[in-house]
Amino acid sequence: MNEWCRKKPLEWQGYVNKEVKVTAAKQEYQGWVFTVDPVSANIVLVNFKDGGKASIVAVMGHAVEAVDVLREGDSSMADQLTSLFMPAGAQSYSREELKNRKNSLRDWLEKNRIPFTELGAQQETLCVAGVLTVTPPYGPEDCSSSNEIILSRVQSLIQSNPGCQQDQ
Amino acid sequence: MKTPVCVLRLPRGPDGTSRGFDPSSARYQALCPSTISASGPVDCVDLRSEQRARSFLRERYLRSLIAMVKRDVKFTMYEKVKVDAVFAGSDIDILNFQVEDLETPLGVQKEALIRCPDVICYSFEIDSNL
Repeated sequence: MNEWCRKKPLEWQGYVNKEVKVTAAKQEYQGWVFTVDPVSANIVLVNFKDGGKASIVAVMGHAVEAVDVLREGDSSMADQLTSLFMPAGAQSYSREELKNRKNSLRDWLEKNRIPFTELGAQQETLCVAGVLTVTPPYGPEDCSSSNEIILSRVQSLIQSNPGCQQDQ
Repeated sequence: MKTPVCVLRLPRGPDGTSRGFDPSSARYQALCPSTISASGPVDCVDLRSEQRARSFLRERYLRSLIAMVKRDVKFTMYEKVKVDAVFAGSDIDILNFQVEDLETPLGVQKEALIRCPDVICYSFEIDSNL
């Protein structure tokens, strides 16, 4: 195992959002670090090109000989990198918005006399009737259950919530 | 689209049965640590932040793999080997990549497994949808 592979996850995380030059097998690869895989120590480098394209090079952890940091990225670069691989149309909600959506769903469930409990470290998951869970952002597609009938009933219920802002 | 060649079989390994992917072979064990150990003195708070870093990094890497599926990927391997293929998937330990239409000097392999320890780097392009 080389020196790079022996680093700890917190050290690898320190390279994210930095522009680096990686030397591997006598070649040099330059780019913005999107991530370092903690399992294989592979470094994923991104280079943004003109014309709305991005070129990705991933250097395998076992091949890394040296990593030199060229410069730090700012928050806009961090956002660009993150949004690069997020599924198209993914919407991110602020903590406030998530709280509002959760409360809106809670009120709607109470109104419809549906029993539920709140689970999770920050009480972010709703467990409906002990058989269905709803995770943030509490849309119909965020329901999970092994019972098809209950799943479709709760999904249409959430869909028909008049209190929730209809987005997309 | 080039006509695929028939399936090539690697010669048998030294143990006489496997063809290079046997997870219980000495070579495999030496190349791939089977467990990821946590850092030395295990302090609760440090462990938590280390785990948080691990999941942050791993999630991003998995998303980059998802983005690679069905795309043309160039693999740069040892012994000056550079091949193109369509990425299909990876195993959990990032030890083998499944690819399709692997272009080799001998022809196009319809389906193939690439051993990650043989790879130096891989590259592909995506739209940056900005």
